[in-house]
Amino acid sequence: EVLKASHQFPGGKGDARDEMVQMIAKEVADADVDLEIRVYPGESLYKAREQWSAVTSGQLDMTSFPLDYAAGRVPQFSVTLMPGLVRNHERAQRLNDSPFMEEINRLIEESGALVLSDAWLAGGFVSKKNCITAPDSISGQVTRAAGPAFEQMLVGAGASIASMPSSEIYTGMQTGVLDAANTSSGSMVSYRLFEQAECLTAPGENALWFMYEPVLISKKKFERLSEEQQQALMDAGQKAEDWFAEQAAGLDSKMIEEFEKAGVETVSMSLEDYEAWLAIAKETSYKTFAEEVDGGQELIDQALAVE
Amino acid sequence: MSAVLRVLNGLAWLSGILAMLLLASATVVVTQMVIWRYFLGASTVWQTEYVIFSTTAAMMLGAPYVLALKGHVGVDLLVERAGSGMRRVFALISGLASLFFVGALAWSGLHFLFEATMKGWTTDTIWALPLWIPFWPVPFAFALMSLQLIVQIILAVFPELDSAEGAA
Amino acid sequence: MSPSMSGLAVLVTMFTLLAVGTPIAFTMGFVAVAALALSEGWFAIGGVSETFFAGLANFGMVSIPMFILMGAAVASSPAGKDLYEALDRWLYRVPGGMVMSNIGACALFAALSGSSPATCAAIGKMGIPEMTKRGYPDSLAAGSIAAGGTLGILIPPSVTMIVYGIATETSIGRLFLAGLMPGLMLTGLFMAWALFDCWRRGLGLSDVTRRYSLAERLEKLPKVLPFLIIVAMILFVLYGGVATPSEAAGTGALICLLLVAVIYRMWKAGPMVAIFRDTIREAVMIMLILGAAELFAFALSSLFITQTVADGIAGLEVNRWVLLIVINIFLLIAGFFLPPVAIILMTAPILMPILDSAGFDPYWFAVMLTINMEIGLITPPVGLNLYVINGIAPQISLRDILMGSLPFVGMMVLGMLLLAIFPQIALFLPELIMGAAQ
Ligand code: NA
Ligand code: NA
Repeated sequence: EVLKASHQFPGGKGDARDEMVQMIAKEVADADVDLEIRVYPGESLYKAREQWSAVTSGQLDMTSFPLDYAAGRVPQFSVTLMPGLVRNHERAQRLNDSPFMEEINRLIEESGALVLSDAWLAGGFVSKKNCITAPDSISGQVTRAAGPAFEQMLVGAGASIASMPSSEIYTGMQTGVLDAANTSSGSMVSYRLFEQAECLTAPGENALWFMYEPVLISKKKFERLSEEQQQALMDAGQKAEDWFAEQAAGLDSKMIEEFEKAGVETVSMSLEDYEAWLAIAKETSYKTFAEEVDGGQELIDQALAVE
Repeated sequence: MSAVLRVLNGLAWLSGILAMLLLASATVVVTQMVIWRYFLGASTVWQTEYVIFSTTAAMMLGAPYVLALKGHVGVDLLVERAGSGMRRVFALISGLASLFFVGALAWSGLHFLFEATMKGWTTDTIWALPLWIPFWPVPFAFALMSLQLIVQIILAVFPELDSAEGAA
Repeated sequence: MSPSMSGLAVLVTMFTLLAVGTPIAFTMGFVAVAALALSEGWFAIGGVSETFFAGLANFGMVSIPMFILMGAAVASSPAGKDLYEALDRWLYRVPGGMVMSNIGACALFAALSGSSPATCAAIGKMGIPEMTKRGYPDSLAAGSIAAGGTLGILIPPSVTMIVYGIATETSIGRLFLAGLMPGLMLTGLFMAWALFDCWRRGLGLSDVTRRYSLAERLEKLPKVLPFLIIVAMILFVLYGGVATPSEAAGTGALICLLLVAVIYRMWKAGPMVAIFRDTIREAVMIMLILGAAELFAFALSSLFITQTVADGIAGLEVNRWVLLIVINIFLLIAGFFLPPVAIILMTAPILMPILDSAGFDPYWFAVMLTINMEIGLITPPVGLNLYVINGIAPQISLRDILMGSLPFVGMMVLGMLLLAIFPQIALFLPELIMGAAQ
C-alpha cells in the first residue's frame, strides 16, 4: 500500500517540514507494516492551497500544511496565524496540550483530516528601510503580510499593505515595489530574502509571528488502514513531532546565521515592543476575528489563558 | 441540428464578450493598484485577487467562444491527407476524447461549485470573496463546450443531418 | 502498472490523439484525466477542476494574457509599421536585416517579460506580417520569432529562473546574472543564422535598387517615438520600483491601449473590440493548453513517471560528462511534453544532488537547463511558442513554423556546447558582480 504525502517546501534541502514528512516515511517503512509513503515535495503534486481539499476529500493521503491556508473553508483556522498569540517556542509546546488545541483538532477532524504531528513555526519581518521593532517603525512601509489577521494589525500600525503571492516577494523587494515583508523563518531562507533585506526582525522571546503547520492525514484513508498500520503512523508522527520541537528554536538561529552571513542587520522585539503590537492586534485582528467567526472569542480566550 | 449549433454559438459569443470586458477591467484594476501604491502609498488589499480571478474567468469564458471559432489548435498533418471516410473516424475519435476531458471538467466543476456555495467557502484573504464568484465560469464554460462538442461530433459523423435540415 | 509501463501508455495515447487532429489542450487533458481515473479510481476526477483552476489562477499565469493584449494593441496600430519602416531604411542593405531586427526586438522584450510565450506573442504579432510582406519566407519569419521568443526565460527577468532558485535554494539574483550573457550569445547566434540563411537565399536585398539618403533615414525616426515611449514607460514601471513583472504586464497593456487610442486616434469602439477579440482568441488558446499541461504534469507526477526516470538517472554510475549528456537528453525529452516550470519542480530536487556530487556549478547548470527548456518550447507536441505563433499567424502552417524553428534548435544546441566548453560565459558576470559563490 502506497500513501502519497505532499507539501510545498523544498525537498531534500533540510527544510524542517520536509524532514518531518521524510522522517514519518522512514519510520513507517522501518516498522514493516506493508506501508510505503511517497513524498512529493515543493508543490510537485498539489499546489500549496489545494492540499486542504485534496486531503479532506481523500484524494491526497498526507500533507504538511499551514492550517491558516484553509481559513476560507474553516474560518476558525485564522486563529492559527494570529499575531502575538503564541509568543515563543516554549509557550507553543504548552499550547499544544491545551483546550485551545483540542478545539482546533476537533475542527480538523470534523473536516475529514487527522493530525499526526503538531508543529508551530516562528517567523519575523524583513525590511529594506529600517528595522521593524515598535509599531511606529513600520509606518509608511509597503509591506507584504502572510495572512488577513496580520494585514489587519499592520494597517492598524500605519503600514501600507500590498497583496502579492509569496513567490513574488523576492522580485517585489528587488525592484523596490515592497519595502518589507512578514513571513516564516523557513520562507525567509528558502525565498532567499537575505539577498534583498537590510534588516531582519528575528523571533526571540517575544515573537509576533507564529503559524501552525501540522502533518495531516486523510481521515478516510486512515480509517481504512489496519490497526498495526495506524499505530505505526501514530508512532512515527509522534517521533517527528518530538524531533521538531527540539529543532524549532534551532531553525530560527539557522535563519539568523544565513542573514548575518549575507551582511543583514538582525534585531528582535523587546517586551515593550511586543506589548505595543499586542494592543494594536487586540483592537484590530482579534476584534474582527471575535466578531466574525463562530466561537472566535472563546478560541482567543483559551489561547491567552495558557501560561 | 445546425439550429442548435447556432443557439450554442450565440451563447458562446455572449460568453466571449463578457470575457473581453473582464480582461479590460483587470488591466484597469492592476493599474489602479500600481498607482495607489506607488504615488499615494496606500494599501492595496483586494486588487491582486481581483486581477487574478477576473483574468482567469476571462480565459474560461473565452474558451467556448474560441471553440465556436475552431481556434483551439491541433496538429492537422494527417487529417489533411485522409479521405472523407477516414476523416469521419478521426473526427469521432478526437471529438469523443475532447468531450471526455471537457465533460469531466464540467462535472468536477459543478461538484466543486455546489460544495463551495453550500458550505460558504471564501478565499483565505482579507477580502474573503465567496469562492463561487470566481469559480462559476469553470463549470459554465466547460458545460457549454460539452454541448458544443456533442453537436460538432454529430455533424462531423453525419454531415447529411446538416444539409437535410438546410433543405427542409 | 509500473511507472515505466504507464509512461509508455501515456505516450501512445497522446500521439494517437494528436494524429487524428485532437486539439493539443484536449489531448493533454484527456490523457491526464484518463490516467488519473484508471490509476486512482473514478472519484479522482472530482478534483480535476480545482487543479486546473489553481494552475491558471495565479499572478504569473495571468500576466500572459496581459502581455498578449499589449502586443495586440501595438500591433493593431501603425506603431509597428512605422517602426519596421524606420528599421528597414537603416538595415535595407543587410541580408535578413528585418529578421535580425525582429530577433533584437525579442531580446529587448525578453528584458521586460519573464515568459517566453508572452515575448513571442508581443513581437510576433507585428513582426511576422512585416517580414512576410517584405518577401521573407513564412518558415523563417515564424521560426525566428518562435526562437527569439524563447529568450524570454533566459534574459532576466525569468519565471523559470525564479522557480529554479526556489526549488534548489540558489540565489535568484545570481541566476538572473548568469542568464544575461548566454541570452545575448543566443541572440547573436540566432542573428548569425538569420544572416547566413538570407544571404544563402539572396533575401533581404529586394529594395537595394532604391537607396535611402541620410535625410530619408532620419525622416522616419519621429514616427518611432510612440513605440519608444511605450518601451520607456514599461521599463520605468518595471525597473523604477513601480510594479513587479506580472503587474507591469497589466499596466503595460493599459498604457499601450491608451497610447494607441490617443496617438493614433483609435478610440472608436471598432478597433478596440478588434484588439480584445484577437487577444481573447490567442490568450484562451494558450491558457487552455497551459491549464491542461498543469493537469498533465499532475497526472505524470501522481503516477511517479517523471520521478522514476530521474531516479534511474541518479542511479547511473558514469563519467560526469556522460552523466551531463544523459541528463540533458532526459530534460530535452521531458521538454517535448511538459512546460518548463513543471519540469523544474518535479526534477530539480532529484537532479541537483547528482549534479552537485559530479561537481557541476548549479548556476551554470541553470543556464543549460533553461536553454534545454527553450528547445522544448519550440518542439512539438507541447511547444508553447509554436502554438502562440500558430495563434497569431494562422495563415502559416504548423509545419512551416516547425521547419523554420529547427535551424534555431541547432543554434541552441551549439550554444549549449559552447557553454559546456566555456562555462565562464555564464559564470563570469555573476562572479564579477557578486563575487565567487559559496
Ligand atoms: Na525575460
Ligand atoms: Na516541446
